Amino acid sequence: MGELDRPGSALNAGSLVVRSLDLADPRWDVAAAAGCLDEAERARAERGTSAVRRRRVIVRAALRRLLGGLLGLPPADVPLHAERGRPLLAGGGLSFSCSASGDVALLAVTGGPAVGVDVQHHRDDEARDAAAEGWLAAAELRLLAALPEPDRLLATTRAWTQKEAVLKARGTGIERLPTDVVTPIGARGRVGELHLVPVAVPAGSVASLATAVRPHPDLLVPTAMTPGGSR
Amino acid sequence: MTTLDAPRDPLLPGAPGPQLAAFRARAEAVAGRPLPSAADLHDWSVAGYRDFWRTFLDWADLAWEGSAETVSTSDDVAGARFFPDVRLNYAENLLRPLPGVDDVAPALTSVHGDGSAEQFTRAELRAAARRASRALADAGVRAGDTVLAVSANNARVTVAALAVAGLGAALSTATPDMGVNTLLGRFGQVDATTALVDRTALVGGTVLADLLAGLPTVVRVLLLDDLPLPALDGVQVARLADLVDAVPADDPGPEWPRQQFDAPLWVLFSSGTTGPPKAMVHGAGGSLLEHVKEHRLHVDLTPADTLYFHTTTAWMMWNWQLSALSVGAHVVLYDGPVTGPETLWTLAARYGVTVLGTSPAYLQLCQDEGWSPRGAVDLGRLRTVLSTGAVLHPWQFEWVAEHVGDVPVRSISGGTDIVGCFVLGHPELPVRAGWCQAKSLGLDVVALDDAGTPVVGEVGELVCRNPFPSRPVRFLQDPDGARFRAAYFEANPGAWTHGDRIEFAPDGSSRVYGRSDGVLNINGVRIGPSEIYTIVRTLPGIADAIAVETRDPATAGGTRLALLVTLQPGVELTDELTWAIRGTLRREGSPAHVPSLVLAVDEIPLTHNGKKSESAARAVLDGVPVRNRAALKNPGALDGIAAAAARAAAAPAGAAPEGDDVHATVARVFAEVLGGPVPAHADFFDAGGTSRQTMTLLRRLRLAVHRPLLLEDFLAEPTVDGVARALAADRAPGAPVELLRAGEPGVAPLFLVHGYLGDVDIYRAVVDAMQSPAPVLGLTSDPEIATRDGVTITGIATALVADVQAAQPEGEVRLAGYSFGGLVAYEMARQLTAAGRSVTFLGLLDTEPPFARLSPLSKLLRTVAWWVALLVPGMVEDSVLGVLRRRLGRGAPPDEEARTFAAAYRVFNAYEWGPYPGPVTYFRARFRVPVVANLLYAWRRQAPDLGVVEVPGSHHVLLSGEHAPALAAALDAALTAGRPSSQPG
Repeated sequence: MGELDRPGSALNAGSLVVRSLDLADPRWDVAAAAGCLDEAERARAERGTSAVRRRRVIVRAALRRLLGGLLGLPPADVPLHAERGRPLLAGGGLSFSCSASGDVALLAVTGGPAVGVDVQHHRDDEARDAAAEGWLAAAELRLLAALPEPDRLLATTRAWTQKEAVLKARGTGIERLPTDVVTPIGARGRVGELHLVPVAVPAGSVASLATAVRPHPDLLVPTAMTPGGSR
Repeated sequence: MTTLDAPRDPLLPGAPGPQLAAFRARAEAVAGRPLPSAADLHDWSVAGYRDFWRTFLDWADLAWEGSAETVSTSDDVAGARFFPDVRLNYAENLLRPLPGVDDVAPALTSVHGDGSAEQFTRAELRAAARRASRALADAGVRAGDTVLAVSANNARVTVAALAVAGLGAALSTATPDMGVNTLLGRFGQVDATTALVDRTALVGGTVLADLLAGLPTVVRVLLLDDLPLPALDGVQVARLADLVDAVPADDPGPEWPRQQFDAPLWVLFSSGTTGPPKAMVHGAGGSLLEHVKEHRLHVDLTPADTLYFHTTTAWMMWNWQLSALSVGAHVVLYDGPVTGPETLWTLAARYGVTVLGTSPAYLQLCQDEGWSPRGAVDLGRLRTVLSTGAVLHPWQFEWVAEHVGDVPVRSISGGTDIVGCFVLGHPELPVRAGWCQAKSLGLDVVALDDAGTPVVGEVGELVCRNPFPSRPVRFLQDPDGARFRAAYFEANPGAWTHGDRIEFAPDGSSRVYGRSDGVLNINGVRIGPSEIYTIVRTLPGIADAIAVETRDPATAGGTRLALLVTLQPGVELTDELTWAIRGTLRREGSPAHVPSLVLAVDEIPLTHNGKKSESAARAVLDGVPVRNRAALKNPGALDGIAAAAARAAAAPAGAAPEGDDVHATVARVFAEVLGGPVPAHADFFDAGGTSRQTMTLLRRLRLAVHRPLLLEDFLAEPTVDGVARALAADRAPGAPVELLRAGEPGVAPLFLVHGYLGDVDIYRAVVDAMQSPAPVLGLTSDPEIATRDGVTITGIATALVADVQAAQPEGEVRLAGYSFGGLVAYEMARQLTAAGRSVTFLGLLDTEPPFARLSPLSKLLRTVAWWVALLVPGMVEDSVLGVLRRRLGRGAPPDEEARTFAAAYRVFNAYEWGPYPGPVTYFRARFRVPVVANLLYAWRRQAPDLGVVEVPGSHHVLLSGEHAPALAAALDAALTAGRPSSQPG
């Protein structure tokens, strides 16, 4: 992969790695994957329902695998720690972000610049309710109102993913109603210093990525990470 | 048969019967038949309005010349001109010697806030006005000029006004506390040459210069105050008093020319809901004739009377009361503040006022405060109370009867547009509580229903169907008259449509119901229904809507906003859609746009010409008979509305659950969102919840529990147990710091200090409108903090300082607070500074200084001073009740609120303040009574580094949705700049 400077090092500052996971794939070996998690990660996963547990284990193990590949470390040795539920990497100069919704999970890593990624399984009813939920800004609602209904609903979900992506890139996450993150109501654009780009995900989901360096492709097509794969 | 012989001198004091009786005799002679009743006389006055005005002009014995042969040039209401061949001078008619009037009796008494007063006899006032005319003429003022005056209501501006009018120039007045932008919004349209300015109450050292910078046509500034002369570039500056002193003692003054009837006398302003205020030119003849008619025939004002009408120079009642000089009455002015319910009654007692003019708001204040003038002051001379500015409710008549005495209360109503009244008092008719007694003579006023048919006994649109002299001569900035015609003559061709809703009884008495079409008046806030429709129509599922102001069953005399919606096929009005409607109106409109009641109906009632009939919908909701069914294209729609209202009343939407119910409700909502029940201690995210679903959960909780849950409170413990606890918690202990607005990390937060109820909800609208990168944190206390034994501002501040120290242990501290909260913030700044913290910003949002040294009685009276700030009629479109409801309306019983408020006021005033050397930014409400200039002085003695920023609105509505954006912008600017440069004020 050209993204890698050389094995065992961090990425170039301008590089961006995006990976996708199909959580529905029955070949994921959750028990084995859990083996590379630390105690806190396992405990956190165990607290969840079975579906939550499965997701947390697979995604965290994949993150360890991806970061480990970039850092030249075995997955279990990647120095992740959690702060308020959010994984952080000690040293290494990498920024990363994870997201999962439905059967889709995404991982994004850069060589330093802030990055946030978010995937959301789209539901019409949920999108329809959004206007009453208070997380869309007036400017966004106006733009949304101008769209025909099917477009409006998808654009609503996309706006959500963009807000999440921005807040993840800023390192805050959703701690309060993200009304003040005003998205462009379009697949691409900017929020403050962050560039927004869509990420290709299976139909039924919408995903966005926010990053401080403008990614080259207009649509990010993640490489799939598969159970037992090499990366 | 009455004859012309032996008419009594109508101006003779002590003559039997009202002047109206004498006028009737003259009218009967002209009519050739008896006009025994009030209705007969009014019918005659409108049937042949030319005869009426001609007869009145003769009878009134005014000073004029020329010919009165042509009374009106046309019967077209929009185009008619009165008395084109009559020439007169307004000031001459006000000041000339009158038979039977003592020229050395007091004619004008100007009372100041400190209790001092100046008095002019009629002869002195005439001489003063003539000398001032000479001084103005020497300075270059000419007939046909327009002169501005910025002044409180006192003798100086009154003498100057008479002098200006005498010269034949037009005058436009405003109050000094309006602020530069408001003044420019008015005066910017006028093209005046001369400005008369009293600077004593102007805020900020640059106001005068800023004002003049926006008024390029002004070439001279004549100061009404005694302050040092300012240096102003490009304009001639002098003190008017100096110019008058320079006039030789034996100079009788210039000729006062008699001018055309329509010669401009005043430029008045009427603020609409949108756009700049309408600048209307009123003519000398029309104004004089209307006022003399109202004063003599309707108020029965005589030279024996002393009139005080509580007004400012910015309201047409100022012009109205000035004209009382023409009947020889003694006019009292007051430029001080209303400091409590006693102020006006005490003034009336001290100066022997016989006719006292006030407002429903002031009378309500007196009633609410439980202050009874009858036992406290001697009102022996008082014979009439006039009230205008809003609807006077029946219980207020009863209050006057009980607490003032056996004097008639005359509710009068008209407007700036006609510089007079459409409905008002009548000396021969009994007063019916809640009603205006009579129609204005000569004005064919009726109520029209939606079909344009006159109606009696039901509410309709107030129109005047014949020409009358006191209509505006023209609007400014309206060269082809299009704005003028659109304002009054388009809604009902051939009639003047005033924009008020009114009900006439068969006897001609009336009740005004507030604004018509156009404008809803919800708790004093004016709203155009079209604004609501525009917003609501953007919501998916809504086909159409009609907004109606209906009786509020919860408050006597109050109204609430009801929204009737028709839905698109297949759509149901669920709780969620209702919330979407409310939320969108709140966001895109204002809190006042949010309906109390949302009903789905099958059809909206429409008139035959397709106009929505708010009146019919309103009648159904109010449960009163619908009188205009025949005017409706789809009267069946009303049955649907009645059914929907009945359904809504039968099933009051979701009573808020309490206690265990909260827990059960939260558990149910968790289960709904997560797709199945979860243990009460289970973490929402562990149970599969996503952040997106958090949004859904919060909304559903809000709908189900009727209480807001902040996301951060949810995240603190995202379980059924945790949420139930958070919803049930009295916020008092534990969570004193509330995040109101996320800001950017690394930016010093702004702490907002709670109001007297211990909460920071009052700041929501402002915080929502802020753009600053600063996070905004609210400091809260127990809702009953003010009523705790021994509580002090200092004690509250000490506790909150600890919260600040905990929440933000280092870095600069920024604080602000409104009113009560401002005083706490001030003390906090003192304590934090003493503790070594750097307080870089202290914002006082219209916070009056405490009056610890006042006597207990004064303190009590002082308690209401803030409320009274909005009682100066014409200053704000609001009522005390409205403010109380909005400000205090949080579900707690009013008694308890009032108790807390009173306690808070005691705490506030007991604060023993000390000096604070740090920077302070004072956000000063633009609309207020003049006293506050002095209060700023009091602040500066403690906090010398105090800068002042003006913000729109009055004290009470400063934080409201309407004014929040401007306040937020001012806060943003001040936070960005650190603070504004210190302005002397």
